Amino acid sequence: MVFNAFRRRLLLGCAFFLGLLTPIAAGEISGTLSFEKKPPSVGLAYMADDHGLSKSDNPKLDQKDQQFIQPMVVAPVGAKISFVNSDNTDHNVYAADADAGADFDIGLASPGSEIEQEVTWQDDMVIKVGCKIHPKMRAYVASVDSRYHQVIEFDRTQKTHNFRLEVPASVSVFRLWLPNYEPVEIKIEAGKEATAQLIKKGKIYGSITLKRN
Amino acid sequence: MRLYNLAPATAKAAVVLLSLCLGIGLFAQPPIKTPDPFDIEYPDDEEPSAEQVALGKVLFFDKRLSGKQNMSCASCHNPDLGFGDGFTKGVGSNGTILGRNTPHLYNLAWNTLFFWDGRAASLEEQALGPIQSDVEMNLKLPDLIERLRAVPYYQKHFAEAYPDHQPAVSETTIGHAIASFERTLISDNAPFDRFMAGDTHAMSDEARRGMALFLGKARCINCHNGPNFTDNGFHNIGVSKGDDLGRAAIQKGATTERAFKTPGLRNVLLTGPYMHDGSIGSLEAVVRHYIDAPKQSGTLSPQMEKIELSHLEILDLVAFMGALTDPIEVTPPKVP
Repeated sequence: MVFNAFRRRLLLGCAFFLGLLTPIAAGEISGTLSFEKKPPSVGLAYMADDHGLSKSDNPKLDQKDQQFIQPMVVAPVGAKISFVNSDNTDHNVYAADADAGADFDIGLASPGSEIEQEVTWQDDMVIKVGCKIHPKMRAYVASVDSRYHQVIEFDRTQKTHNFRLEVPASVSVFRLWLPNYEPVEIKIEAGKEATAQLIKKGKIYGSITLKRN
Repeated sequence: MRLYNLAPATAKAAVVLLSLCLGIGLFAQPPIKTPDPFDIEYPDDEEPSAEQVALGKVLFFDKRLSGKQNMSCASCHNPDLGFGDGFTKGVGSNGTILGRNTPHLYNLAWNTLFFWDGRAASLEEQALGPIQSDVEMNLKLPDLIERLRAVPYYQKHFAEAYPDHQPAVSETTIGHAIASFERTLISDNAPFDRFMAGDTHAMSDEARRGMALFLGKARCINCHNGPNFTDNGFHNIGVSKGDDLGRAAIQKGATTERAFKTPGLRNVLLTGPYMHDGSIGSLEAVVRHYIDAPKQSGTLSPQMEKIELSHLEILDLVAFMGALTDPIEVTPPKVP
Protein backbone atom coordinates (compact mmCIF):
# COMPACT_ATOMS: atom_id res chain seq x y z
CA MET A 1 0.00 0.00 0.00
CA VAL A 2 2.75 2.43 0.99
CA PHE A 3 4.74 1.51 -2.06
CA ASN A 4 1.65 1.96 -4.18
CA ALA A 5 0.97 5.37 -2.65
CA PHE A 6 4.58 6.42 -3.20
CA ARG A 7 4.48 5.16 -6.77
CA ARG A 8 1.20 6.99 -7.43
CA ARG A 9 2.68 10.25 -6.10
CA LEU A 10 5.80 9.69 -8.19
CA LEU A 11 3.72 9.06 -11.30
CA LEU A 12 1.59 12.11 -10.60
CA GLY A 13 4.74 14.19 -10.13
CA CYS A 14 6.20 12.94 -13.40
CA ALA A 15 2.91 13.55 -15.17
CA PHE A 16 2.83 17.10 -13.81
CA PHE A 17 6.43 17.68 -14.89
CA LEU A 18 5.75 16.27 -18.35
CA GLY A 19 2.53 18.24 -18.45
CA LEU A 20 4.52 21.43 -18.00
CA LEU A 21 6.79 20.49 -20.87
CA THR A 22 4.53 19.09 -23.54
CA PRO A 23 2.18 22.00 -24.32
CA ILE A 24 5.08 24.26 -25.23
CA ALA A 25 5.01 24.56 -29.00
CA ALA A 26 8.45 24.48 -30.54
CA GLY A 27 7.33 25.87 -33.84
CA GLU A 28 4.59 26.43 -36.32
CA ILE A 29 3.42 25.05 -39.60
CA SER A 30 1.74 27.57 -41.83
CA GLY A 31 -0.26 26.26 -44.74
CA THR A 32 -2.06 27.58 -47.79
CA LEU A 33 -4.81 25.64 -49.48
CA SER A 34 -5.75 26.66 -53.01
CA PHE A 35 -8.83 25.22 -54.69
CA GLU A 36 -9.66 25.43 -58.36
CA LYS A 37 -13.38 25.36 -57.61
CA LYS A 38 -15.58 25.82 -54.57
CA PRO A 39 -13.79 24.40 -51.52
CA PRO A 40 -15.40 21.80 -49.28
CA SER A 41 -17.12 23.00 -46.12
CA VAL A 42 -14.52 21.69 -43.71
CA GLY A 43 -11.14 20.02 -43.44
CA LEU A 44 -8.86 18.59 -40.77
CA ALA A 45 -5.13 19.27 -40.49
CA TYR A 46 -3.20 17.28 -37.89
CA MET A 47 0.15 15.85 -36.95
CA ALA A 48 -0.27 12.11 -37.25
CA ASP A 49 2.76 11.16 -35.15
CA ASP A 50 1.34 12.54 -31.94
CA HIS A 51 -1.00 10.40 -29.88
CA GLY A 52 -1.50 12.44 -26.75
CA LEU A 53 -5.08 13.65 -27.07
CA SER A 54 -6.99 12.85 -23.91
CA LYS A 55 -9.91 10.44 -24.01
CA SER A 56 -11.61 12.27 -21.20
CA ASP A 57 -12.20 15.60 -22.90
CA ASN A 58 -15.70 14.57 -24.05
CA PRO A 59 -16.17 16.94 -26.97
CA LYS A 60 -19.67 18.24 -27.70
CA LEU A 61 -21.39 18.33 -31.06
CA ASP A 62 -24.29 20.75 -30.80
CA GLN A 63 -27.33 21.29 -32.99
CA LYS A 64 -29.23 24.52 -33.49
CA ASP A 65 -31.37 26.02 -36.26
CA GLN A 66 -31.45 22.64 -37.96
CA GLN A 67 -27.69 22.59 -38.34
CA PHE A 68 -24.75 21.09 -36.52
CA ILE A 69 -23.03 24.07 -34.94
CA GLN A 70 -19.56 22.55 -35.35
CA PRO A 71 -18.77 21.02 -38.72
CA MET A 72 -16.41 18.51 -37.09
CA VAL A 73 -15.32 17.22 -33.71
CA VAL A 74 -12.10 15.39 -32.97
CA ALA A 75 -12.19 12.56 -30.44
CA PRO A 76 -9.83 9.61 -29.98
CA VAL A 77 -11.07 6.04 -29.76
CA GLY A 78 -12.44 5.49 -26.25
CA ALA A 79 -13.60 9.09 -25.82
CA LYS A 80 -17.25 9.95 -25.43
CA ILE A 81 -18.88 12.54 -27.65
CA SER A 82 -21.90 14.42 -26.33
CA PHE A 83 -24.53 15.09 -28.96
CA VAL A 84 -26.36 18.15 -27.67
CA ASN A 85 -29.67 19.35 -29.04
CA SER A 86 -29.89 23.10 -28.44
CA ASP A 87 -32.57 23.42 -31.08
CA ASN A 88 -36.27 23.81 -30.50
CA THR A 89 -37.00 20.79 -32.65
CA ASP A 90 -36.30 17.07 -32.36
CA HIS A 91 -33.18 15.69 -33.93
CA ASN A 92 -31.31 12.45 -34.26
CA VAL A 93 -27.67 11.62 -34.81
CA TYR A 94 -26.51 8.52 -36.60
CA ALA A 95 -23.56 7.16 -38.53
CA ALA A 96 -23.34 4.24 -40.89
CA ASP A 97 -19.78 3.94 -42.13
CA ALA A 98 -18.88 0.34 -42.88
CA ASP A 99 -15.23 1.15 -43.73
CA ALA A 100 -14.66 2.69 -40.30
CA GLY A 101 -16.87 0.21 -38.48
CA ALA A 102 -19.05 3.04 -37.21
CA ASP A 103 -22.71 2.17 -36.88
CA PHE A 104 -24.75 3.99 -34.26
CA ASP A 105 -28.07 5.77 -33.90
CA ILE A 106 -28.84 7.77 -30.77
CA GLY A 107 -32.59 7.67 -31.49
CA LEU A 108 -34.89 10.62 -30.99
CA ALA A 109 -33.06 13.51 -29.36
CA SER A 110 -35.52 15.97 -27.87
CA PRO A 111 -34.79 19.68 -27.51
CA GLY A 112 -32.40 20.22 -24.60
CA SER A 113 -31.16 16.64 -24.57
CA GLU A 114 -27.53 15.56 -24.38
CA ILE A 115 -26.73 12.01 -25.43
CA GLU A 116 -23.28 10.41 -25.21
CA GLN A 117 -21.75 8.13 -27.77
CA GLU A 118 -18.40 6.41 -27.28
CA VAL A 119 -15.96 6.36 -30.15
CA THR A 120 -15.68 2.62 -30.67
CA TRP A 121 -14.81 2.51 -34.31
CA GLN A 122 -11.51 2.42 -36.14
CA ASP A 123 -8.73 4.80 -35.20
CA ASP A 124 -7.66 7.59 -37.54
CA MET A 125 -10.86 7.78 -39.56
CA VAL A 126 -13.26 10.60 -40.33
CA ILE A 127 -16.91 9.58 -40.42
CA LYS A 128 -19.97 11.52 -41.46
CA VAL A 129 -22.81 11.87 -38.99
CA GLY A 130 -26.29 12.98 -39.92
CA CYS A 131 -29.83 13.41 -38.71
CA LYS A 132 -32.44 10.98 -40.00
CA ILE A 133 -35.14 13.61 -39.63
CA HIS A 134 -33.19 16.33 -41.41
CA PRO A 135 -30.87 14.73 -43.98
CA LYS A 136 -29.36 18.06 -44.97
CA MET A 137 -27.69 18.23 -41.56
CA ARG A 138 -24.23 16.76 -41.62
CA ALA A 139 -21.05 16.93 -39.60
CA TYR A 140 -17.93 14.85 -39.19
CA VAL A 141 -16.28 13.02 -36.32
CA ALA A 142 -12.56 12.38 -36.57
CA SER A 143 -11.24 9.47 -34.48
CA VAL A 144 -7.86 11.14 -34.24
CA ASP A 145 -5.69 11.19 -31.11
CA SER A 146 -3.31 13.98 -32.05
CA ARG A 147 -3.19 17.02 -29.80
CA TYR A 148 -1.86 19.02 -32.73
CA HIS A 149 -4.88 19.31 -34.94
CA GLN A 150 -7.01 22.00 -36.42
CA VAL A 151 -10.48 21.85 -37.89
CA ILE A 152 -10.52 24.22 -40.85
CA GLU A 153 -13.87 25.78 -41.72
CA PHE A 154 -13.76 27.08 -45.26
CA ASP A 155 -15.46 30.21 -46.50
CA ARG A 156 -16.85 28.62 -49.64
CA THR A 157 -16.78 31.89 -51.54
CA GLN A 158 -12.98 31.94 -51.30
CA LYS A 159 -10.62 29.68 -53.21
CA THR A 160 -7.52 30.29 -51.09
CA HIS A 161 -7.28 29.58 -47.38
CA ASN A 162 -4.48 29.92 -44.87
CA PHE A 163 -4.04 28.10 -41.58
CA ARG A 164 -1.46 27.77 -38.84
CA LEU A 165 -0.74 24.80 -36.64
CA GLU A 166 1.47 25.04 -33.58
CA VAL A 167 3.64 21.95 -33.35
CA PRO A 168 6.48 20.72 -31.11
CA ALA A 169 9.81 19.63 -32.54
CA SER A 170 8.99 15.97 -31.82
CA VAL A 171 6.39 15.62 -34.60
CA SER A 172 6.83 15.84 -38.35
CA VAL A 173 4.07 13.87 -40.10
CA PHE A 174 1.41 16.28 -41.32
CA ARG A 175 -1.92 14.99 -42.60
CA LEU A 176 -4.80 16.77 -44.28
CA TRP A 177 -8.28 15.32 -44.60
CA LEU A 178 -10.91 16.88 -46.86
CA PRO A 179 -14.30 15.26 -47.60
CA ASN A 180 -14.22 13.19 -50.81
CA TYR A 181 -10.57 14.08 -51.44
CA GLU A 182 -7.64 11.70 -51.20
CA PRO A 183 -5.87 12.21 -47.85
CA VAL A 184 -2.62 14.12 -47.99
CA GLU A 185 0.41 13.13 -45.90
CA ILE A 186 3.58 15.20 -45.86
CA LYS A 187 6.66 14.69 -43.71
CA ILE A 188 7.98 18.12 -42.92
CA GLU A 189 10.92 19.17 -40.75
CA ALA A 190 11.72 22.59 -39.31
CA GLY A 191 12.90 25.13 -41.85
CA LYS A 192 11.41 23.20 -44.78
CA GLU A 193 8.64 23.81 -47.28
CA ALA A 194 6.49 21.31 -49.13
CA THR A 195 3.71 21.26 -51.69
CA ALA A 196 1.17 18.59 -52.62
CA GLN A 197 -1.81 18.29 -54.92
CA LEU A 198 -5.39 18.01 -53.71
CA ILE A 199 -6.98 15.14 -55.62
CA LYS A 200 -10.61 14.11 -55.84
CA LYS A 201 -11.78 11.17 -57.96
CA GLY A 202 -8.39 11.09 -59.68
CA LYS A 203 -8.53 14.75 -60.76
CA ILE A 204 -6.49 17.61 -59.38
CA TYR A 205 -8.70 20.15 -57.65
CA GLY A 206 -6.09 22.24 -55.89
CA SER A 207 -2.87 22.27 -53.91
CA ILE A 208 -1.50 22.66 -50.41
CA THR A 209 1.72 24.43 -49.54
CA LEU A 210 3.33 24.04 -46.12
CA LYS A 211 6.09 25.99 -44.47
CA ARG A 212 7.57 25.02 -41.10
CA ASN A 213 9.65 27.38 -39.04
CA MET B 1 -45.20 40.81 -36.40
CA ARG B 2 -48.40 41.61 -38.21
CA LEU B 3 -47.63 43.07 -41.58
CA TYR B 4 -51.14 42.98 -42.88
CA ASN B 5 -52.46 46.16 -41.35
CA LEU B 6 -49.48 48.36 -42.11
CA ALA B 7 -49.36 51.22 -44.58
CA PRO B 8 -46.96 50.59 -47.50
CA ALA B 9 -44.20 52.83 -46.08
CA THR B 10 -44.43 51.20 -42.69
CA ALA B 11 -44.68 47.81 -44.35
CA LYS B 12 -41.43 48.48 -46.20
CA ALA B 13 -39.67 49.11 -42.91
CA ALA B 14 -41.29 45.97 -41.56
CA VAL B 15 -39.99 43.96 -44.52
CA VAL B 16 -36.48 45.19 -43.80
CA LEU B 17 -36.89 44.27 -40.13
CA LEU B 18 -38.37 40.90 -41.03
CA SER B 19 -35.53 40.23 -43.45
CA LEU B 20 -33.06 41.07 -40.71
CA CYS B 21 -34.84 38.76 -38.28
CA LEU B 22 -34.83 35.96 -40.82
CA GLY B 23 -31.26 36.63 -41.81
CA ILE B 24 -29.81 36.62 -38.34
CA GLY B 25 -31.85 33.65 -37.31
CA LEU B 26 -34.12 35.00 -34.62
CA PHE B 27 -36.44 32.28 -35.77
CA ALA B 28 -35.04 28.86 -34.96
CA GLN B 29 -35.44 27.44 -38.42
CA PRO B 30 -33.46 28.15 -41.57
CA PRO B 31 -34.95 31.41 -42.88
CA ILE B 32 -37.37 31.57 -45.78
CA LYS B 33 -35.82 33.64 -48.52
CA THR B 34 -34.93 33.61 -52.18
CA PRO B 35 -32.67 30.64 -52.98
CA ASP B 36 -29.03 31.36 -53.76
CA PRO B 37 -27.55 29.62 -56.83
CA PHE B 38 -24.20 29.59 -55.02
CA ASP B 39 -25.63 27.00 -52.62
CA ILE B 40 -26.37 24.47 -55.37
CA GLU B 41 -24.21 21.39 -54.90
CA TYR B 42 -23.31 20.19 -58.37
CA PRO B 43 -21.74 16.73 -58.70
CA ASP B 44 -17.99 17.19 -58.27
CA ASP B 45 -18.66 20.93 -58.08
CA GLU B 46 -18.92 21.02 -61.87
CA GLU B 47 -21.71 23.19 -63.23
CA PRO B 48 -23.14 21.46 -66.31
CA SER B 49 -22.48 22.84 -69.76
CA ALA B 50 -25.22 24.31 -71.95
CA GLU B 51 -24.85 21.27 -74.23
CA GLN B 52 -25.44 18.87 -71.35
CA VAL B 53 -28.55 20.78 -70.23
CA ALA B 54 -29.94 20.92 -73.77
CA LEU B 55 -29.34 17.20 -74.23
CA GLY B 56 -31.03 16.48 -70.91
CA LYS B 57 -34.06 18.48 -71.99
CA VAL B 58 -34.45 16.39 -75.15
CA LEU B 59 -34.09 13.17 -73.15
CA PHE B 60 -36.66 14.44 -70.65
CA PHE B 61 -39.25 14.69 -73.42
CA ASP B 62 -38.23 11.56 -75.37
CA LYS B 63 -40.62 8.59 -75.16
CA ARG B 64 -37.77 6.28 -76.15
CA LEU B 65 -37.02 6.26 -72.45
CA SER B 66 -39.93 3.89 -71.79
CA GLY B 67 -40.18 0.24 -72.82
CA LYS B 68 -43.24 0.75 -75.00
CA GLN B 69 -42.02 4.16 -76.17
CA ASN B 70 -45.27 5.64 -74.94
CA MET B 71 -44.01 7.67 -71.98
CA SER B 72 -41.32 10.25 -71.31
CA CYS B 73 -40.27 11.89 -68.04
CA ALA B 74 -42.53 14.78 -69.06
CA SER B 75 -45.56 12.47 -69.27
CA CYS B 76 -45.75 12.42 -65.48
CA HIS B 77 -43.69 15.51 -64.72
CA ASN B 78 -45.70 17.66 -67.09
CA PRO B 79 -44.43 21.27 -67.16
CA ASP B 80 -47.99 22.46 -67.81
CA LEU B 81 -49.25 20.68 -64.69
CA GLY B 82 -46.71 21.96 -62.19
CA PHE B 83 -44.29 19.23 -63.24
CA GLY B 84 -46.81 16.70 -61.94
CA ASP B 85 -49.63 14.85 -63.64
CA GLY B 86 -52.65 16.10 -61.73
CA PHE B 87 -53.54 12.57 -60.66
CA THR B 88 -53.87 11.31 -57.12
CA LYS B 89 -51.19 8.71 -57.80
CA GLY B 90 -48.83 8.31 -60.70
CA VAL B 91 -49.65 6.06 -63.64
CA GLY B 92 -47.07 3.75 -65.25
CA SER B 93 -46.54 3.11 -68.94
CA ASN B 94 -48.64 -0.07 -68.69
CA GLY B 95 -51.47 1.79 -66.99
CA THR B 96 -50.48 0.60 -63.52
CA ILE B 97 -51.57 2.94 -60.75
CA LEU B 98 -48.46 3.61 -58.70
CA GLY B 99 -48.21 3.79 -54.94
CA ARG B 100 -47.59 7.49 -54.54
CA ASN B 101 -48.31 10.92 -55.96
CA THR B 102 -45.97 12.26 -58.64
CA PRO B 103 -43.71 14.83 -56.97
CA HIS B 104 -43.04 18.18 -58.60
CA LEU B 105 -39.58 19.15 -59.84
CA TYR B 106 -39.29 22.79 -58.74
CA ASN B 107 -35.94 23.84 -57.28
CA LEU B 108 -34.62 20.31 -56.88
CA ALA B 109 -31.17 21.80 -57.49
CA TRP B 110 -31.04 22.46 -53.75
CA ASN B 111 -32.55 19.16 -52.66
CA THR B 112 -30.72 16.46 -50.74
CA LEU B 113 -32.52 13.14 -51.11
CA PHE B 114 -35.05 12.21 -53.77
CA PHE B 115 -38.37 10.36 -54.03
CA TRP B 116 -40.97 10.60 -51.26
CA ASP B 117 -38.90 8.13 -49.22
CA GLY B 118 -35.51 9.62 -50.06
CA ARG B 119 -34.18 6.42 -51.59
CA ALA B 120 -32.07 8.24 -54.20
CA ALA B 121 -29.06 10.16 -52.95
CA SER B 122 -28.67 12.29 -56.06
CA LEU B 123 -30.77 13.73 -58.84
CA GLU B 124 -28.71 11.65 -61.28
CA GLU B 125 -29.67 8.45 -59.45
CA GLN B 126 -33.30 9.56 -59.22
CA ALA B 127 -33.50 10.30 -62.94
CA LEU B 128 -32.65 6.70 -63.81
CA GLY B 129 -35.02 5.14 -61.26
CA PRO B 130 -38.41 5.48 -63.00
CA ILE B 131 -36.92 4.44 -66.35
CA GLN B 132 -35.95 1.06 -64.92
CA SER B 133 -38.98 0.52 -62.70
CA ASP B 134 -41.14 -2.24 -64.18
CA VAL B 135 -44.32 -0.45 -63.10
CA GLU B 136 -43.23 2.92 -64.42
CA MET B 137 -41.29 3.29 -67.69
CA ASN B 138 -40.13 -0.32 -67.69
CA LEU B 139 -36.95 -0.14 -69.72
CA LYS B 140 -33.63 -1.73 -68.82
CA LEU B 141 -30.75 0.72 -69.07
CA PRO B 142 -28.67 -1.41 -71.49
CA ASP B 143 -31.67 -1.44 -73.84
CA LEU B 144 -32.05 2.33 -73.48
CA ILE B 145 -28.37 2.88 -74.24
CA GLU B 146 -28.64 0.69 -77.34
CA ARG B 147 -31.71 2.65 -78.47
CA LEU B 148 -30.04 6.01 -78.02
CA ARG B 149 -26.80 4.94 -79.72
CA ALA B 150 -28.83 4.05 -82.81
CA VAL B 151 -30.07 7.64 -83.17
CA PRO B 152 -27.69 9.96 -85.08
CA TYR B 153 -28.85 12.98 -83.07
CA TYR B 154 -27.86 11.33 -79.81
CA GLN B 155 -24.57 10.00 -81.23
CA LYS B 156 -23.61 13.55 -82.15
CA HIS B 157 -24.90 15.38 -79.09
CA PHE B 158 -23.70 12.93 -76.43
CA ALA B 159 -20.23 13.07 -78.02
CA GLU B 160 -20.30 16.87 -77.99
CA ALA B 161 -21.70 17.17 -74.48
CA TYR B 162 -19.43 14.51 -72.95
CA PRO B 163 -16.15 14.60 -74.90
CA ASP B 164 -14.25 13.09 -71.94
CA HIS B 165 -16.56 10.08 -71.63
CA GLN B 166 -15.98 6.87 -73.51
CA PRO B 167 -18.48 5.64 -74.46
CA ALA B 168 -20.36 8.92 -74.57
CA VAL B 169 -23.80 7.32 -74.20
CA SER B 170 -23.85 5.58 -70.83
CA GLU B 171 -25.89 5.29 -67.64
CA THR B 172 -23.71 8.00 -66.15
CA THR B 173 -24.14 10.51 -68.96
CA ILE B 174 -27.87 9.84 -69.41
CA GLY B 175 -28.49 10.40 -65.70
CA HIS B 176 -26.22 13.43 -65.64
CA ALA B 177 -27.88 15.07 -68.65
CA ILE B 178 -31.43 14.62 -67.35
CA ALA B 179 -30.45 15.81 -63.86
CA SER B 180 -28.62 18.79 -65.35
CA PHE B 181 -31.79 19.86 -67.16
CA GLU B 182 -33.88 19.33 -64.03
CA ARG B 183 -31.51 21.53 -62.01
CA THR B 184 -32.38 24.42 -64.32
CA LEU B 185 -36.04 24.30 -63.24
CA ILE B 186 -35.64 27.17 -60.84
CA SER B 187 -38.48 29.28 -59.51
CA ASP B 188 -37.17 32.30 -57.63
CA ASN B 189 -39.19 35.33 -58.65
CA ALA B 190 -42.52 34.78 -56.95
CA PRO B 191 -44.41 37.66 -55.32
CA PHE B 192 -42.83 36.45 -52.05
CA ASP B 193 -39.33 36.97 -53.48
CA ARG B 194 -40.21 40.44 -54.72
CA PHE B 195 -41.76 41.25 -51.35
CA MET B 196 -38.62 40.13 -49.56
CA ALA B 197 -36.58 42.26 -51.95
CA GLY B 198 -38.50 45.30 -50.73
CA ASP B 199 -41.48 45.53 -53.08
CA THR B 200 -44.17 45.93 -50.46
CA HIS B 201 -46.92 45.80 -53.06
CA ALA B 202 -45.83 42.40 -54.36
CA MET B 203 -47.97 40.50 -51.88
CA SER B 204 -51.63 41.11 -51.04
CA ASP B 205 -52.80 41.95 -47.54
CA GLU B 206 -54.11 38.39 -47.26
CA ALA B 207 -50.76 36.93 -48.27
CA ARG B 208 -48.92 39.15 -45.78
CA ARG B 209 -51.23 38.01 -43.01
CA GLY B 210 -50.71 34.43 -44.18
CA MET B 211 -46.96 34.85 -44.04
CA ALA B 212 -47.14 35.98 -40.44
CA LEU B 213 -49.26 32.91 -39.64
CA PHE B 214 -46.90 30.65 -41.62
CA LEU B 215 -43.97 31.84 -39.52
CA GLY B 216 -45.91 31.93 -36.27
CA LYS B 217 -49.18 30.57 -35.06
CA ALA B 218 -49.66 27.98 -37.81
CA ARG B 219 -46.14 26.55 -37.32
CA CYS B 220 -45.74 25.69 -41.00
CA ILE B 221 -42.18 26.96 -40.60
CA ASN B 222 -41.37 23.93 -38.42
CA CYS B 223 -40.81 21.88 -41.56
CA HIS B 224 -41.44 24.15 -44.54
CA ASN B 225 -38.43 26.34 -43.97
CA GLY B 226 -35.39 27.54 -45.88
CA PRO B 227 -35.33 29.12 -49.34
CA ASN B 228 -37.43 26.38 -50.87
CA PHE B 229 -39.83 25.97 -47.97
CA THR B 230 -38.62 22.49 -47.08
CA ASP B 231 -36.33 21.19 -44.37
CA ASN B 232 -35.47 18.34 -46.74
CA GLY B 233 -36.54 16.12 -43.88
CA PHE B 234 -38.88 13.20 -43.29
CA HIS B 235 -41.89 13.43 -41.01
CA ASN B 236 -44.92 11.37 -40.11
CA ILE B 237 -47.73 13.85 -40.57
CA GLY B 238 -50.56 11.38 -40.16
CA VAL B 239 -51.39 10.80 -43.80
CA SER B 240 -50.06 7.26 -44.19
CA LYS B 241 -52.45 4.71 -42.75
CA GLY B 242 -51.89 1.73 -45.06
CA ASP B 243 -48.89 -0.47 -45.79
CA ASP B 244 -46.64 2.34 -46.93
CA LEU B 245 -43.98 2.79 -44.26
CA GLY B 246 -42.31 5.65 -46.11
CA ARG B 247 -38.78 6.45 -45.07
CA ALA B 248 -38.67 3.46 -42.69
CA ALA B 249 -38.55 1.10 -45.67
CA ILE B 250 -35.25 2.72 -46.60
CA GLN B 251 -33.81 3.66 -43.23
CA LYS B 252 -34.87 2.16 -39.91
CA GLY B 253 -35.04 4.46 -36.95
CA ALA B 254 -37.19 5.94 -34.24
CA THR B 255 -38.19 8.80 -36.48
CA THR B 256 -38.66 7.25 -39.89
CA GLU B 257 -41.82 5.15 -39.65
CA ARG B 258 -44.51 6.49 -41.97
CA ALA B 259 -42.35 9.54 -42.50
CA PHE B 260 -42.27 11.12 -45.94
CA LYS B 261 -40.18 13.88 -47.41
CA THR B 262 -41.25 17.46 -46.82
CA PRO B 263 -42.07 18.79 -50.28
CA GLY B 264 -40.89 22.26 -51.19
CA LEU B 265 -43.73 24.76 -51.48
CA ARG B 266 -42.58 26.87 -54.40
CA ASN B 267 -45.39 26.84 -56.97
CA VAL B 268 -47.42 24.71 -54.58
CA LEU B 269 -50.60 26.20 -56.04
CA LEU B 270 -49.79 24.36 -59.28
CA THR B 271 -48.81 21.00 -57.84
CA GLY B 272 -51.99 19.47 -56.46
CA PRO B 273 -53.27 17.05 -55.43
CA TYR B 274 -51.19 17.05 -52.28
CA MET B 275 -49.45 14.70 -49.84
CA HIS B 276 -47.40 11.61 -50.74
CA ASP B 277 -50.55 9.74 -51.70
CA GLY B 278 -52.31 12.64 -53.38
CA SER B 279 -55.16 12.21 -50.95
CA ILE B 280 -55.87 15.92 -50.38
CA GLY B 281 -57.14 17.97 -53.25
CA SER B 282 -56.86 21.57 -52.11
CA LEU B 283 -54.49 23.71 -50.09
CA GLU B 284 -57.33 24.71 -47.79
CA ALA B 285 -57.91 21.04 -47.00
CA VAL B 286 -54.17 20.57 -46.46
CA VAL B 287 -54.18 23.29 -43.82
CA ARG B 288 -57.23 21.71 -42.19
CA HIS B 289 -55.33 18.40 -42.05
CA TYR B 290 -52.60 20.08 -40.00
CA ILE B 291 -55.24 21.35 -37.60
CA ASP B 292 -57.06 18.02 -37.29
CA ALA B 293 -54.32 15.37 -37.43
CA PRO B 294 -52.47 16.25 -34.20
CA LYS B 295 -55.77 15.95 -32.29
CA GLN B 296 -56.38 12.45 -33.63
CA SER B 297 -53.03 10.71 -33.32
CA GLY B 298 -50.28 10.79 -30.73
CA THR B 299 -47.67 9.13 -32.89
CA LEU B 300 -47.02 11.93 -35.32
CA SER B 301 -43.82 13.88 -35.77
CA PRO B 302 -43.26 16.27 -32.85
CA GLN B 303 -43.15 18.99 -35.49
CA MET B 304 -46.92 18.54 -35.81
CA GLU B 305 -47.81 20.95 -33.05
CA LYS B 306 -51.44 21.39 -32.10
CA ILE B 307 -52.74 24.51 -33.77
CA GLU B 308 -56.04 26.32 -34.09
CA LEU B 309 -56.85 28.58 -37.01
CA SER B 310 -60.00 30.41 -37.98
CA HIS B 311 -61.48 29.99 -41.43
CA LEU B 312 -60.14 33.42 -42.39
CA GLU B 313 -56.67 32.50 -41.18
CA ILE B 314 -56.75 29.33 -43.26
CA LEU B 315 -57.59 31.42 -46.32
CA ASP B 316 -54.78 33.82 -45.49
CA LEU B 317 -52.32 30.94 -45.33
CA VAL B 318 -53.50 29.72 -48.71
CA ALA B 319 -53.06 33.25 -50.05
CA PHE B 320 -49.48 33.26 -48.81
CA MET B 321 -48.82 29.91 -50.49
CA GLY B 322 -50.24 31.44 -53.64
CA ALA B 323 -47.61 34.16 -53.32
CA LEU B 324 -44.97 31.48 -53.85
CA THR B 325 -46.08 31.11 -57.45
CA ASP B 326 -43.56 31.74 -60.22
CA PRO B 327 -44.38 29.31 -63.04
CA ILE B 328 -41.60 27.97 -65.21
CA GLU B 329 -42.41 27.87 -68.88
CA VAL B 330 -40.73 25.05 -70.75
CA THR B 331 -41.09 24.80 -74.50
CA PRO B 332 -40.90 21.13 -75.47
CA PRO B 333 -37.90 20.51 -77.70
CA LYS B 334 -37.97 18.75 -81.03
CA VAL B 335 -37.37 15.12 -80.19
CA PRO B 336 -35.32 13.29 -82.87
